[in-house]
Amino acid sequence: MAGGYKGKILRINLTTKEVSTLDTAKYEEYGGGHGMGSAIFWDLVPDKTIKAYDPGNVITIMASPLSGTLVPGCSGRTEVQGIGSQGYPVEWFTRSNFGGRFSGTMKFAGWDGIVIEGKAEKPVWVDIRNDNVKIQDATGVWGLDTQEAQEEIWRRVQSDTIGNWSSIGSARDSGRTTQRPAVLTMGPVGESLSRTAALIHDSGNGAGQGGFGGVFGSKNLKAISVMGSGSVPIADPKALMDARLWSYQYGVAGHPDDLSSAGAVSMFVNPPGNQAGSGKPVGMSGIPMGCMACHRNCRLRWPDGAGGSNGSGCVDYLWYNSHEKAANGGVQTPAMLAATDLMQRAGINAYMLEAGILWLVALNKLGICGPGKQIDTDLPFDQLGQLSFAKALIDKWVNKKDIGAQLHEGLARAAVAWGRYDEDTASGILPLQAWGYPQHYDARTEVEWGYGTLLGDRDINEHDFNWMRWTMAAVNGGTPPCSPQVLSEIMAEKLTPYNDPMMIDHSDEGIYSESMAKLVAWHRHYTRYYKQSLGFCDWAWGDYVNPYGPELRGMTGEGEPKFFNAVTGKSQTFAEGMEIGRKIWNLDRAILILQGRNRDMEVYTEYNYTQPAVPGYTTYEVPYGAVVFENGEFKYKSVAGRILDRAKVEEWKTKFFALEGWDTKTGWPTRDTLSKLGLDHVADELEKNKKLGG
Amino acid sequence: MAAILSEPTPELAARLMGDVGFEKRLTGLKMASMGGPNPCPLHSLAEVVGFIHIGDYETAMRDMHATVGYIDPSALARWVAEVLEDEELATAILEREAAGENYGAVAMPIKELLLERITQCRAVLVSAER
Repeated sequence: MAGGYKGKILRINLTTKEVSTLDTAKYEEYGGGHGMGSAIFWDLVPDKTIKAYDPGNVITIMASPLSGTLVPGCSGRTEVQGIGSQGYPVEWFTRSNFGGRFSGTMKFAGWDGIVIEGKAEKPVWVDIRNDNVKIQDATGVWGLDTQEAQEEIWRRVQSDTIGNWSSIGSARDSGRTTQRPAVLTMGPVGESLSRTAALIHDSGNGAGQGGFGGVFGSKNLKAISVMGSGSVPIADPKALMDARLWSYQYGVAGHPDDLSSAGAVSMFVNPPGNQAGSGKPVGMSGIPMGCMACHRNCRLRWPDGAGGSNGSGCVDYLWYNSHEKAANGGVQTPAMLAATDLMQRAGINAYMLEAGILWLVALNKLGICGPGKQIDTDLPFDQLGQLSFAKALIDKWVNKKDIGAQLHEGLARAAVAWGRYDEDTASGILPLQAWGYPQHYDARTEVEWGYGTLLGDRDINEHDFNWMRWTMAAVNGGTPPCSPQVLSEIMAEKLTPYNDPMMIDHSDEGIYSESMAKLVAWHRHYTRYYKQSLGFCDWAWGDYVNPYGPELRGMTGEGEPKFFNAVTGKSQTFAEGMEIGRKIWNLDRAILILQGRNRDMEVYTEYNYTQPAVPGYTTYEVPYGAVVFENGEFKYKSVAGRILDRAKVEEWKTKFFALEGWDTKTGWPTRDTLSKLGLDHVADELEKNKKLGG
Repeated sequence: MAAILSEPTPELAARLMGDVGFEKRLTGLKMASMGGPNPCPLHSLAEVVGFIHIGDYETAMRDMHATVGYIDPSALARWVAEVLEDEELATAILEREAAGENYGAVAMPIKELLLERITQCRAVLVSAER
């Protein structure tokens, strides 16, 4: 096989206890990660309409050829796929992703991925030590929180050898390791089959969206532990080292005495040690920590006694930090860390908590939720911002007590159970953008985010085109790092194969244009391949505008194939990778279609069409700056207060479907489109189900 | 520092220290590069003070984790005038905004102004209780 691959994928059937392998070569055309996961799911799940908690659901946990190598901002990502329980109203085939060292360790153990099928009779965990794979009794592990479970498994695997050499093979140099096993586990909320349950690895790494913790629970699978003592074959080690050193010129490592003030616009540049953790507790500082081989180190380890939350770094803090700060007169205290820790240990999806708490507070203020109210709860709203409130909410959520019985099912289903869904998604106090996922970036302003979510399966969570990073400069009185005209030129160069400068036009006309269809298509194809299949981290790539790059040009287009080819020995071009991304995107589309997806379902929740901003005294005058093309020139402009035009969104969908080679009436791919992508077998299956585009 | 606002009446102080309820809330925007712009309802002057936050330009541009607690100053002034019915405070907010500077420059002076008002209100209410 090409470099980077280990050649086999571990297949575990929890029902039959059979352990077998799949040949990686069969799926190599998809690159790795997501692409392989989708193809394996397609092959192993004949009935795509099964529910998330059906034992027939197959979960893939995939590495990439670049996992466990020195590729910066890439080596540590692991892709998780299968039918998730979070999607609403349909439990869509979906994905999640987490960082750390799991994928690299999996490769060191000799595996390009892990496929989980069936359902164990009783709670188990999977114990992988190189080729030695056992399904272990989870007595004493089941019931533990995510941190305790990992510690218990470390004890069981390494016994008294923690910190010393563990022998897991016979070879002198490749049969032993000092590393702890990498453990992926769910918490108590996963054991009780919550649709809001995440998978957690080490500290601060989580596959939050999708409800895969609950899917693990449905399979009676508490955790997967992997320990490996091998290595990853590199086709051209010198080329890989050269590429890594080359990339330093695009990051602070190459400019230690010249820290750019424009780092925030290039996620690759953003330096370690600067991580505020979305607001540090006053007087405290954490130590940067990162994923395998990453130059960024974007998470934080706090000192003992800080309150917990070691290793978190993003929305895991955001769910409670503003409430905690407000309750303390604007001062962030360690209680923020403790609240984050509660969530991580329980294994709850942070986005659900973040949006859920705002919604519950709104309902409380409206007199709908509280003691003796329509939504009857003893949740202590008067303690909002204190640790006691966070504890009470999470306790109810995990144990399905009080309103936790409904929240456990996710916000959309809770809203339906309380008779609030239509009203609250219309007013926007429950901002579920699409498919039951809370709004992350606003579909009315940063439209490519919303479109990607609407046409896919989940909140895309891909930060390539967030103009807010430019806006963050504006609110501080700074100027954006480059003029809008230069930005359009750079993007036109980078966004191969379309190379259309109008793709970034977010004006009121531009958001419904064919150029916007190209941007969304480019984004879908790029992320499906480069981010989710090869593992280039969303927190480092794509690299478009880079303050250290030649004439502000970042690495994207050149960097991705440079690293891929050095590791694999192939000679793939960036454009060829984009075509693989298109293929994966179409394969995913076919799975969604077999689950029931059609064009008519792809509409946003009501507030996106009717509410120009959240009701109240607000204008959003500055923060929604975007790049627009007006009166013959590009400019940065506020698009505050915009709503989406329902008819124009529908017209845009027609443009998008036509661009993708899909039936414009149904949104289903045509045989011609699938055939050109080498997906004739997919076309056959769609045709058999009368769901092939005409 | 000498007070720049006249002492509020006990009635005004009580109103300023109260909760306006959901329908009359002010909405702030918690901005974080990775987390997105998240609208946050604010129901009291104290919550507003706790919410307003911004670092310096260098930090914001270097650190993708930096957060901003953003409230449009004009919207804040309107809310203070119409909901809290404190015209003097609203005018003082607008004076700071009128300097024409960016949010980063005016946010903390406005926050200090609100803090001063809260301090005044607490003193008035304690005095009234006696």
